[in-house]
Amino acid sequence: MAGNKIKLQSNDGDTFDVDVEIAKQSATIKTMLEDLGMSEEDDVIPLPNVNSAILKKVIQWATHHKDDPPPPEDDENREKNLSDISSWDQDFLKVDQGTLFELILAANYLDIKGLLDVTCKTVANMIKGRTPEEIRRQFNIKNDFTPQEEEQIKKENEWCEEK
Amino acid sequence: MLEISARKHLSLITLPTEILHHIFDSIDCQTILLSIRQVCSTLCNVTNTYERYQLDFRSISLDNYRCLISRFDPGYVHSIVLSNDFKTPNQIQLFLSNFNTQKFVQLRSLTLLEIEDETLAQLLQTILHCSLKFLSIKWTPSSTPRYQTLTLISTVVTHNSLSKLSMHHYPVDTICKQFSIQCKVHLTLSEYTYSQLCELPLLFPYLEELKLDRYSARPDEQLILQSQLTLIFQYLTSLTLRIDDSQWKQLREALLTTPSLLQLSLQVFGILPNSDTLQCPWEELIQTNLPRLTQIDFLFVILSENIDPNEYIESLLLPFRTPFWTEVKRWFVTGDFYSFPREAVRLYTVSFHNDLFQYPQWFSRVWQSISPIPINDTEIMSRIHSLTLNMNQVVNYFESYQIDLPDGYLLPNVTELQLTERHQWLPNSIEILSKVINLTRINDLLLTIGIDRGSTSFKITNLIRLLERTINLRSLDIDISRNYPNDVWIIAESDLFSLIPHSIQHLQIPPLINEFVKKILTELSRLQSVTFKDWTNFPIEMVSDYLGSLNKPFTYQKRNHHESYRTDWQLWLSTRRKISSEILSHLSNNKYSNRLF
Repeated sequence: MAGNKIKLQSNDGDTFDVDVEIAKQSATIKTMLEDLGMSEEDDVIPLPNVNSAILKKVIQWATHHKDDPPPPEDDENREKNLSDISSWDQDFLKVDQGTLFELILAANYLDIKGLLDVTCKTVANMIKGRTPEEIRRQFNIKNDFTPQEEEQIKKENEWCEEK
Repeated sequence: MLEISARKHLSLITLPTEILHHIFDSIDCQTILLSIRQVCSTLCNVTNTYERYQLDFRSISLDNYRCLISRFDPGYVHSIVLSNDFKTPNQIQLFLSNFNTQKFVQLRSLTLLEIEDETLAQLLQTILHCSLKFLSIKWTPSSTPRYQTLTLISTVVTHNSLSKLSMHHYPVDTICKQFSIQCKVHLTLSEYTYSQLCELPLLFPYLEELKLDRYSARPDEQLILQSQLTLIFQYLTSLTLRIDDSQWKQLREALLTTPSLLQLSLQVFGILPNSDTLQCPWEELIQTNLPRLTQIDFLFVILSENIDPNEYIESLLLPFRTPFWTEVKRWFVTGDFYSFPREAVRLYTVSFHNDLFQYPQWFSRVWQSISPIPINDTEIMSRIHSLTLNMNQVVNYFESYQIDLPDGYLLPNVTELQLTERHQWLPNSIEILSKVINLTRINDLLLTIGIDRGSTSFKITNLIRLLERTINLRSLDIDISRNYPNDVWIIAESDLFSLIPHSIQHLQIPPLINEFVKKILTELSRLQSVTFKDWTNFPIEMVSDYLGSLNKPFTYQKRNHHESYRTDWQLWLSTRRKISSEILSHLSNNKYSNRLF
């Protein structure tokens, strides 16, 4: 294994050579390397929850963001808006919904805060300001409320602003 | 769009709850509680277990506010923003009547906008047991913090180990001098003196951000100034200052010796060509006194007549053409010259471009820049979202210079417009304005109309035509100005009413006879807030009875403007008439709220 590289293995068996510093954006991998005593010389780091296509995307994201400052811990009063997603990330996340959700799960499993934040914000932007029916259509969700529940919702919404 | 074979059946509702909650962190509370909650049973359950609600009630309608308040557990709220501004008058008092604030045990961040000091004191007494870490207070301009309130603020800071306190309109007076706030402070002073500035390091030893607006020089301060006191702000990282040149000279040395400063935003007005402000050795000063500075934005407005603008601007730019500015810091400076309406040179950092836009002066400028990046007019204009225009000036400009307007809009993205039309309405006004601005994008409009004997009808007709084009207008503020002191009120109330689009949501309007007050309250079906301006004897009892007869809930506040001796009455209105007994009982019977049903 090259001195500053490690091998990451996806759940479908593909391995990827990745710079250690890029891989360490994942707190999960960083912990494996540092706290659990794994070394760069160990054969491969298996990632059983991530498939090859998604791992490739995650590495692409981590490579682009390798020089980013660490995300702030104290994020109170942050504005909830689109403007803090960079144009590169917006282009990177122009994927189908299934892929976007897979990326979210991978970011969560690998504990990559920056990727988790940006993917979750992308989904949030697909939801913000929409009506329940628009959200159902957007994400292909079935309305499973019983007629009684529907009636209750209607009553609760008696006073809501009309859209 | 890239497609990768995704895990089967993966969808929004199959994501783990913790992930959905992470997504909710980036969504406003209205969407979570009024939309997501009603999509399906899974998402409804996920909203019930979400524990980081961020309630931002700025600009919310009274109807949605009423729907929301029964849908979350106060123990699950992380942050709250409440505002008593004209769009949501009396909201803070209403909120206090709806909730026992002691139940917000997880509250970490509280922002209170346009709050009266008395209400603030009531609220502060109840939040000592929350987990508050961030508190932001913006008093109403006419409200003065009292000793009791300052004691409470000091107690909250200590008791909650507050990490940050932000205060607007904080008066540094004799009462305040008894309190020293031991946490990070962000402070905005709307008016201040030099001796007050000298007090700040003692009152706020951890002052981090300071915004100073209006400096009041006092003759008795000359002695202090001559002693060249240095202000020691050990933790100050950001300083914003708007100031006149004569005053800047007095403060310059004191303020520019702050080694911790990271950001400096400075606007100096009224500079004469021979002023020593223009001789300031900025490069040396920054390297010596402000070694950590990462961002500087400045604007100097220089009154200059009978000059060769190109030569003069070049002489001003010369000190900024050094490697320190263009290579090390990459802070690029620009200068421009306007001859209209008064000759002036502006020297500014490139980052100020968007804020400095003035129309139509923009077209008549002489402009030189050190910036290596070409500054594109079209790009700058597309970034302008807020604009003040004098209608006559614009029309006269185009007609005098016979300028051809290009296809498309010069300013395509303006959403907030302040439009003044004080004199005679000129025939081409709408056509010219329609080419300058994309009127369909305007959301907020302040219309200042001058009374001009004999031409009111023509003006009103044209204003109606203009407003018909602002199809997305949400907020309208109408100001009637008398051009001469002896002018009488000659605009008919029916004319004034005819100006108001029926889809308007927020209205600010001068006094009217009762008949038209009623018309406003009933015929504008989407109206969420209305301010009756400058109306000391507003018929609140009549309005109360009238809205009560319609079963239309509302709340209101009276706003006194001490500086202008003006009294406004602001109403926050439901757009609905029918009332459910359950909600009525939830909202009524409270001592804080000016609510009438």
